Amino acid sequence: MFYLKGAMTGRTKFKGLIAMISLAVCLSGCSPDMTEISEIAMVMAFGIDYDTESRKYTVTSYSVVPSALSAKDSGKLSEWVISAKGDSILEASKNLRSRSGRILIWQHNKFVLVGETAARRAFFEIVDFLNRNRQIRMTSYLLVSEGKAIDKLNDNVETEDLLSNDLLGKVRNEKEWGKSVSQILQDIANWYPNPYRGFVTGRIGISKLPDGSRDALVLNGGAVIDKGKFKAWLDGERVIAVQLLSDKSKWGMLEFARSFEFQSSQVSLFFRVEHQRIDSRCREGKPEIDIRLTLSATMGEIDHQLPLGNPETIVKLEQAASDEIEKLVRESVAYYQKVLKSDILGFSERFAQYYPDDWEMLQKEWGSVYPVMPVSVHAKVKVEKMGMVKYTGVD
Amino acid sequence: MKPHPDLISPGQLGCLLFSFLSGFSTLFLMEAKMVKQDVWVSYLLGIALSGGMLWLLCYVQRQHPHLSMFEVFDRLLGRWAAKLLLAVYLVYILEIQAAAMQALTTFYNTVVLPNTSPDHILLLIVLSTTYAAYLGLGTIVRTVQVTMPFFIVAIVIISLFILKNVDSNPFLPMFRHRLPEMAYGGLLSFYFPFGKSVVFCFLLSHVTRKERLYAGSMTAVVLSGVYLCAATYLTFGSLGMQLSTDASFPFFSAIQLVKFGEYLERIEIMIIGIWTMFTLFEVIVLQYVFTKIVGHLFGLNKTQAFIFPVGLFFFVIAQKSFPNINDLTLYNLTIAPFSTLIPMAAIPLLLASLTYFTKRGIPR
Amino acid sequence: MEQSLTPIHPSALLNAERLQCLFAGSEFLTVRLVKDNNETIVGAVAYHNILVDEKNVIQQFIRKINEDLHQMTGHRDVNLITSLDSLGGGKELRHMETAADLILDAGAAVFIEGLSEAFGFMFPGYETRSIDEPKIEVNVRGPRESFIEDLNTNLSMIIRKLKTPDLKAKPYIIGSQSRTRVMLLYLESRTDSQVVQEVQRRLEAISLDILIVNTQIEELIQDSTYSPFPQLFNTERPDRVVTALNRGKIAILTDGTPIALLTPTTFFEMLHPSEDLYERFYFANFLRIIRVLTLFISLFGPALYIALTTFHLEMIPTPLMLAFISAKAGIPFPTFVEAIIMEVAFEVLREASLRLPRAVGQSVSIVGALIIGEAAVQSGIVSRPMVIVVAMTGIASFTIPSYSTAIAFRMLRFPMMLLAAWSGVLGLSLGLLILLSHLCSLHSCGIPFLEPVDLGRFKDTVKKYILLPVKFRRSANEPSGDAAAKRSMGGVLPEGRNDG
Repeated sequence: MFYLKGAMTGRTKFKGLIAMISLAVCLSGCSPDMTEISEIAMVMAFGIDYDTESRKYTVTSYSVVPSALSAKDSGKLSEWVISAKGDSILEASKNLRSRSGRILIWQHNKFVLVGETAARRAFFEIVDFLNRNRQIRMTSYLLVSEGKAIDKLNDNVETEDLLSNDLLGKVRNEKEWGKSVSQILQDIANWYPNPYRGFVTGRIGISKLPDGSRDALVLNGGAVIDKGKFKAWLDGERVIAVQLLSDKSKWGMLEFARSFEFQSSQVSLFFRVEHQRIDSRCREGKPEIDIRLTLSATMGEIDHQLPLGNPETIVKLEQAASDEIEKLVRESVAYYQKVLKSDILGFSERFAQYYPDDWEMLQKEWGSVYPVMPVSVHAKVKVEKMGMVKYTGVD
Repeated sequence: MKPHPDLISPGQLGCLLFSFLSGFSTLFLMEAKMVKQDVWVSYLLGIALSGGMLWLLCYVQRQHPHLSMFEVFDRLLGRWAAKLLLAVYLVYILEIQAAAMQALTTFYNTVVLPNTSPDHILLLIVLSTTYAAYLGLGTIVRTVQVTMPFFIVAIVIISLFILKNVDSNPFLPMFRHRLPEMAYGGLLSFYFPFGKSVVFCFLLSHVTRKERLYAGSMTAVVLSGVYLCAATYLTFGSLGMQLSTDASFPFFSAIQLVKFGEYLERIEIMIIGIWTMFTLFEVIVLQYVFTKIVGHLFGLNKTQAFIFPVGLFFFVIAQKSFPNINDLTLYNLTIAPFSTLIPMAAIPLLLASLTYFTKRGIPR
Repeated sequence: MEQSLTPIHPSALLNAERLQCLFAGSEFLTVRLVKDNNETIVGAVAYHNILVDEKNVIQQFIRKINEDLHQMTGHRDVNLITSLDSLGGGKELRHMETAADLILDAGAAVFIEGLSEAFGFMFPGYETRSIDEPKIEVNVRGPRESFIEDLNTNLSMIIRKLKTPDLKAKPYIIGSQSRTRVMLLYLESRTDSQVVQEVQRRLEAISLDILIVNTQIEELIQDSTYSPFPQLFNTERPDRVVTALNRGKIAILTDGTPIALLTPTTFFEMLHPSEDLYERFYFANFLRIIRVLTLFISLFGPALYIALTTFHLEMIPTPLMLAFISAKAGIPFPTFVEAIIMEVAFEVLREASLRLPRAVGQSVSIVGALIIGEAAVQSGIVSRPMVIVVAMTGIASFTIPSYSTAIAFRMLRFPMMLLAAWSGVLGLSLGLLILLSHLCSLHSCGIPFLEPVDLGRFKDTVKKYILLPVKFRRSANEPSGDAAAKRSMGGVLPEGRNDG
């Protein structure tokens, strides 16, 4: 060693020194941030409940652990639900550790289920907690649960799949039918402090299977959050318009079905949005919203035979479909305005962006302006495909 | 036969300056949180200010093509005044390096490694920068040139994916802030990141083609401004204004949202990895310049041996200053923009005017 | 050495005795006296009886001289010289030391009575290996010959492919005891004369007792001694040397080493086998990309795995994470230890299969892989993903054509793993920074080893990394500066030479 040092020139001695110090730093103990996969339990979803009387939070975690502890029969995973109470969400989630022999890893959490009471009473704390925590993904979905969240997590899934996978599939399916809308934490974090707008997030409930033997989780409708707390439920029919009038990420891939009366027969079409445009206008301080939708439709089913080979029929059908969509949107928006009295579509943001000067005035009386604001809806439907059946039945 | 190891081309200077400015610039987005959608005005102000200062410094250098900036100081100001002003730069470098190191460790401690001791992180960073600074300017520049394509490609890909999340123009409505606010934002962005470019005045004499000095460095400043502006746009657009203002590290929160398909998300770790390398060039350059200044102050010919002690000094300073991230933020927001005006604006102005007057004086 | 040269004495006998004195103590020197009809000594033949083909010397050479002497009339000295001339190929020797060198180089020295110079003839009588297929740099479409230990054969292989007087060769003798011949080759019009001078200066500065392998030269002329990376390219393929010469590189051939050294070289040349030039350029470029990728894998594979699975769990896609969790259940070691065990085991296997006799080597690697892989997983010592990662890394490291570069990267994997275990991605990026700046600080005979992307000369940069179709390739290698001027003036190079 000494010989080596002697042989080194100044340059190399210097490099050697640096190398040695770096090595010493590295060897000074493995990092405290290391987590071994073999010791973890992956939290895939968790629920937050609040009890108004005791003022305590309950955090329930749904996690996945390997079911066998030998490598031979590896590959099996089992679900594991634990819950704990605490004075705050953080405390409750720390208290979970008393029940857990494994390190709980939240990075792969995809769902946060918030109980109805918790959403009503403590929504601010919940979102704040979720935002602050570095382990929780900003892309996890926040769903409001009918009743207590803990019940949903304890429930079994019909398909015997992992609950989180099942829920993820249900969220992914939202764009296939449009009657449910789930929001990711990032959007919620961005919206909830805004005093002027509200928003809709997913609503998770339980429905009995037809034979009544088991419960099944259902994702249907939405939960309206306004002024930082849960306000009302929204049923599936009313959610479609929310999807239609949100960002492109929501309506871009949306496909939803409507059936309506047409020439005394019941017609079902499924629609896709081609183009959506919402214009805000302020005339002499009076706000207006103009909604334009272009949709394409495909024939789903008819209960009578219709002369679909005739272009005129198609034009009429298109007109009827457009009326139907306009009616749907108009009624829904009127519902949001007049019944909910909550700006869940974020119209206020448009005025703030495009008419900043008028907005200065508007924002003070937004609560009274919004319900009576005129909203015009124009929909244009093109029926492009008839499906796999070409035959139209009429000569 | 080797080209002189510490000579660089104007293009290389530009690359170095770009990495020097862009590394940390997107971390906090302080001025963006303050001036919100009008931040681009502040950026323009900052770019213009630092462009002016750079022009002055390049002018000084071009008038003294065969002197290093240290010698220019000596010639224009006399020996002792020059030493004093160089000492101001030493303090300035210490200040920004401490801020940079603290920012980096805080970032790592908050986002990636919550339990690792910040001293460990600092020490390892200092060791790596010491090694790189030790290898000389030529090597530093080549390393930047090797790293930059990776950084740019990674950032561009990420930006394109973030752009998918942007729905409406987040820079609307325009001009909603009063002029003093925007001016203050401009001052902030002049202090950080654009004004940092004054440190490069000590490298100007290393550049081969002096006539393209200003073009090379100004391109870098403008490009880093474009990058910063784009990052802010994407952050506002994808996170939303509210969350951008609330988040500690807004741009990284925006990156976190990027998904590749349904399954691969949270790729920000890889970006953080590349970004870390990129940010360290700032510390490396500061360490290199600091050592050069120290060498000049004490009249030493060989400064290489001092790089390691300087690194350790950096470590100690960084470790002792701003123990609390809020102190750092407060300092960055209130004191630093004004206190650093001396090295960033006053001294360049002084040098340039002295150069101008001596030049006019001589023919007489 | 220069000053103490002994001139050859006019007395052949004296010269022979002096030689015998020089070689005293070994039985290797044979001296035969040549006498005329009058039994007067006309000359002496001295040769090394081990190196020289003795039968040839005696039968062809001495007998011929004797016969000629007896037949011819006239002055015997003149006769002897005429006789030697008729044999052809003789070298004139003026000093005893050069004569001794010639003898040690498998030659016979002929001293002639009354002349103060001697004549040397080569009669190599030792066996050399015949030209073989390349063993290390195997390829599919290229020529299938590789260098052997004999310098002259190697030179002939190069010159046959490069028939131009522009090819300059400068001989050196290195090693005070081994007296090894070293040949410096370059194309004058293509090579930067400064680089040539620099390499010459470095070669001249070498002082060695024994030069056996050219690694010794490599070590002594490289720019940075303590770097793990080779800064001179080594190849066993003559075609590769020819291509490199044409690109303005300098080749150093050493007698006794079947490997040529090329300098100056860059890092990316180390990653490209000569095969690239023989493939269609699409695939060659695809393979280049693959090789850069495998380089990253072989350096960072296990380190990334460690960093991701112990620090950055969020980055792993959830379904994959579920698979990892179940695979890792019940494994007793931490990931880092697991990785070290597997990597060391892999290196052991690789080394064993390299060192063992070829027939056994094959089975060792297969059996070893089976045992380590399957048994370790079965008994729950290592997890399956780890086996995959290590195997992938190992295989990736074999795609780097330059063995010395590959081994450097394989070894650097261990510090990277350490850094990853210390602080995850932070450690990795610091490690990468140090590695990159080290690579950037390296020079190969004064030329930067890692060429950066130079946006100022974008076109040239692109050509450095991407292989263009042949017709666009030429300008990329166009020599610049004085070399180009020289070429246009002299016009030495035949036209239409295709470089690669």
